[in-house]
Amino acid sequence: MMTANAKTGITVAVVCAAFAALALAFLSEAGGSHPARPPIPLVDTNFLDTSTTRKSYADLVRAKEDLSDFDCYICHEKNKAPPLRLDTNQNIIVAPEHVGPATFAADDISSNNLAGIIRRLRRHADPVSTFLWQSMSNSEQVLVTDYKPSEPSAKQAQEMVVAVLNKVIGGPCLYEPGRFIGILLGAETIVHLQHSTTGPNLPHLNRLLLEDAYPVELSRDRSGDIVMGHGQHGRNNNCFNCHNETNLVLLQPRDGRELTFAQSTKLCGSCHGPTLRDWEAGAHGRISGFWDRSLGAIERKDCVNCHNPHYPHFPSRQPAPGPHPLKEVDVADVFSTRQQ
Amino acid sequence: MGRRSFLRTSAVLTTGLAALAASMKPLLEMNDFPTMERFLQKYYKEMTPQDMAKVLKRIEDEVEQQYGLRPHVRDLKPMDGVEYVYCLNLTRCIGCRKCVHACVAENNQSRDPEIQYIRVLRLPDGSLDVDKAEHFYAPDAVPEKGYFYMPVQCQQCKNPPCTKVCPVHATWQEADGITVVDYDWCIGCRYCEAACPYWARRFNFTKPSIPKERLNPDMSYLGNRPRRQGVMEKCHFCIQRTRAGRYPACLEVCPAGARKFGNILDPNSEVSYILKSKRVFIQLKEEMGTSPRFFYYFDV
Repeated sequence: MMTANAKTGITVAVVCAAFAALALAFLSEAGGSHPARPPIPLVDTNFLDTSTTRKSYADLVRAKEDLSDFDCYICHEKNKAPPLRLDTNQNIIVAPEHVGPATFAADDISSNNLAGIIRRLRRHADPVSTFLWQSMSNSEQVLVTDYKPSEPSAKQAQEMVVAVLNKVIGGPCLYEPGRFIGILLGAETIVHLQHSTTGPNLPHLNRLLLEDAYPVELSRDRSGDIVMGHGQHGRNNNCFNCHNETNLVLLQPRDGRELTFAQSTKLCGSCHGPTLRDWEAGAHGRISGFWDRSLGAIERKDCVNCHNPHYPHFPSRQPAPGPHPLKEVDVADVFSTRQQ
Repeated sequence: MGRRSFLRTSAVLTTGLAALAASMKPLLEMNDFPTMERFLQKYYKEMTPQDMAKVLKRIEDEVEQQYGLRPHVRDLKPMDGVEYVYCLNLTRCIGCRKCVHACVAENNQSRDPEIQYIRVLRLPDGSLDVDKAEHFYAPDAVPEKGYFYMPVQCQQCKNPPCTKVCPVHATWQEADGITVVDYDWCIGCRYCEAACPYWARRFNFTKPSIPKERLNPDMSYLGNRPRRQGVMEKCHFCIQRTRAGRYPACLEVCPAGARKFGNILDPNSEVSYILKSKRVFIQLKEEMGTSPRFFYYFDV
C-alpha cells in the first residue's frame, strides 16, 4: 500500500522520464529528418528574354543588316510580273526559290550536331530515329555504330548521314501522328501539312519535319521560307493581294497606295482596321518602356515583329516551368483526379 | 525542503529545461539576428527622410555583405494624380509563364524554394470557374486547344481584406493604389495570407536563396529588396519600375502582348481605352467585394 507521496513521486518520475526521452528524440532527430527536396534548377534565360521572335524591315535597316533578300530584282526581271500558279487544291504553288531548301548539304551539319544525330541514331529510341535507322543499309548502320569524331572515317560518316536524310526526304511524306508525338511542329510545317502531303513541295515538307524532329542538330533560320498560310480556307490565295506585281519592292493595299517594306504595318491595317486602331491606342501588341511618356521613350512593336506576314497565326511554344510544390507532383496523377 | 521534494522539483525542472532547449533548436540555425539599428527602426510612415536615408544605407550594406554586389536602394514615393490599373487580355494569353519568371528575376525572389507571385491558371473554354483550374499544367506546347489561360497575381484591391487584418499595420495601401508590405515591420503571422481571396501573398518559410549572378541591384525599400525568413511578400506592380514611370517586368516580357498597365486617371492611357472600348471586363471573385484593380477582358 503506497503512501500518497510515493504515488506522486512515481508519477512525476515517470512523466519526467517520458518527456526527457521525447526531448532527446526531438533534439537528435531520431525519427529521421524530412527528406531533402530535389533542388530547383535555375530557369532557362530564354524565358526571361524580352525580344520578339522576328525582326521587322525597319529593325534590319537600323541594325545595318544585309538587306539583299529584299532586293527582288537581283533575280526577277523588271517590268515582268511573276506568274501565279495554283495546284489542284487551289493552293498557291510557291516558287522553289522562295520555298526554302529541300535537301541537306554536307556543310549544313556541324560536327557537334553530327555527333548528336549519330547518338540518337545509335540509340534509335524515338520513332523518327527508329525510322531513319530502319531505312539505312547494314553497312551504313555499321558506320554509325563505329563513328568516332577524330577518325578519318568521320567525314565519310557525315556524307553518309546527309545521304540518308536526303533519301528519306525524297520518299513519301514522313508525317504520321504516332511518329511525331511530343515533337513541337513549326508553324511552316503545320501549314504545309494542312495544304498537302503530296505535290511539288513534299521534299521541303519532309525536310521541315526532320528539322522539327531534331530541333538542336538541324535547326536553321526559317524566316526566308515562304508558305501561303494567310487567311482561313485559302481566302487570301494571291501573292499580289499584298505585293505589287509591277514593282516587287513595294507593297500595295487595296486602295492603290504604294508602301515600302518598312511601312508594312499600314498594309496590315488596311484590311485589319479594328486591330490597327487597337494597336495605335496601345491595346494590341506590346509597348515597352515607359507608361509615363513624359519620363522616357517607348518602343512600339510592328505587326511583323510577332506575326509572320505569310502565316500570321501565333506560333505555339514550350511553356516555362510551373510552380514547384513541396512534394513531387506526378502530373499524370494530378490530371487523373481532376474531372474536366 | 526534504530530499524527496528536492528530487521531485529538480526532476520536473530538468525536464522542463530540456523541453525548452529542444523547442529553441531553430534559434541555433538563425544567423541573422536583428542589429540594434534594425530593432529600433521606426515605422515607415513615421520616418523622416534622414531616417530613411540611414535605413537605405543599412540595406545596401547588408546586401553587399551577403551577395558581394552593392545595390542601389531607393524609396520612391507615389506620383500625384496616378492610380494604377492592370488589364489582362484573356484572348491573347498563351500560358507560356514567361511573366512568372520575369517577375521572379526582377523582384529578387527566393529561387529554392521558388516563390512566384504570379500563378497562371489553365481553365477549360466556356467557364470562369476557378475550381476547374489547373495550376501545374506542363504540356509540350502552349496554347492547348480547348483551354484558355488566366494569370493571377495581387489584384491591388480598392477594398483590400489583407490590410484590415494585419495586427501591426505592416501592410497598407498607398495613394497610387499599390498595397505594400514593410518587410522590416512584418511579424510573419500570415493573417493577410489567410484573408486574401486570391492567394496573392507569399510567405518566406525558409531563408530565401538568390543566386548572386541573378540578383537585380536596382531595388526599392517597399519593393524588391531581398527579404528575410519569416516575412510576407507579394506582387507590388514592380514598384521600383512603375513609380519611375516604367512598365512592370511581367508586361515587358509577355510575347503575346496580353498585359496592359497604366494610369486610370489619365484618359489617354491604353488602360482607359481598354476599359472604355473593350466589351467584357471581369474582376476575379467580384462577389467578395474587394474591388480589384486588375481587369480581365476578352478582345473579340
